[in-house]
Amino acid sequence: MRRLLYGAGAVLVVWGLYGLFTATRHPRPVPWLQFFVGAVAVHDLVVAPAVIVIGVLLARLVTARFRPYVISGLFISGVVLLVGLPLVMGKGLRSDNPSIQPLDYTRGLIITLAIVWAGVALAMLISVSRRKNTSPR
Amino acid sequence: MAESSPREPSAGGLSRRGFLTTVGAAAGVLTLATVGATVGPLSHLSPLATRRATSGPQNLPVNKSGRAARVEETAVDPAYKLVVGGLSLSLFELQSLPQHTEVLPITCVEGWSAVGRWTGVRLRDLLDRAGVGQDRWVRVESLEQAGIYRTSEVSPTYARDPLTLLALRLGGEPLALDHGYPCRLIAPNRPGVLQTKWVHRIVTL
Repeated sequence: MRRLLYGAGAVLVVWGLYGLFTATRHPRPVPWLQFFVGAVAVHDLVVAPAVIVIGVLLARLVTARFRPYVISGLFISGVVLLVGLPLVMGKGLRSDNPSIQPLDYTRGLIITLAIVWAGVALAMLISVSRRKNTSPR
Repeated sequence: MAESSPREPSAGGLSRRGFLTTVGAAAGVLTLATVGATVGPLSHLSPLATRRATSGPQNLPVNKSGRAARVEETAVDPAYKLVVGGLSLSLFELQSLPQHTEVLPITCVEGWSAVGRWTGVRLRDLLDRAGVGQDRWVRVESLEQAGIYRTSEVSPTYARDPLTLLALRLGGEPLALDHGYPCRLIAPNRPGVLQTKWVHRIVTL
């Protein structure tokens, strides 16, 4: 059974490599390799360690009661940064076409993150007031 | 307090409900932050939109500029002719044909859309003039020399639609070079990349 699965996997890998070189008229395996290896490397060497460090700091600095809210805020901020940072860095800008990315994205990113954390603070306040209302019972 | 007890399952972490709420909130925040690129009236709500409906020449965004398409010289050549079957029309002759104005969007597959007010010749009028049959497909060809969207094929349904124009003007002014001067295809319900710009030839298929 295991050999069968290895065989099926190998066939798929060969098929993929074949497609990499034949699907377009001008195959560009180097950018593909950069993305294929780069994505894994960035995840394992940057994203995962950063999440671990942030998790340790959270456990030390934030009380258990507020931790879920902060985790939510960080999660949403991470997704926003994934979209916003390339815009802030000007990736995709073209000198011949100013209609591409016409906004001030540093400002945009700050506004978006400010709204996210205002939402987190509001959720914390609501939870505090609910506990106050219910605890004397 | 119960939440500091080790038996509290969600102590300090996200509960299942919390996790799902967070994923939903992340999707909602990103949608609102970028939706202005395709829904014009919401553009002021979207600080991370990659386009704004009113940016670009003649208040309309551009995907490929005249410089990128390398038509800066050929498009403004005074000897420009539009060839439709056996017909050959100068820009002046195109401007002398009956003109129609339609409000139609550019809807780019890259995720933005914006509406323009286009004025030009109905494609079906031109095809009739050139004697092209009602049921024929045509291929619209650009002055652009390279690029997979240099040409686009137009089915009879599109070619015969009264809204389908070979536009010469946008918002009342002659087309900007980046919008396809001297003449571009604009049809309803058609992806932006198939609204061929810098048109110089229409071939019957």
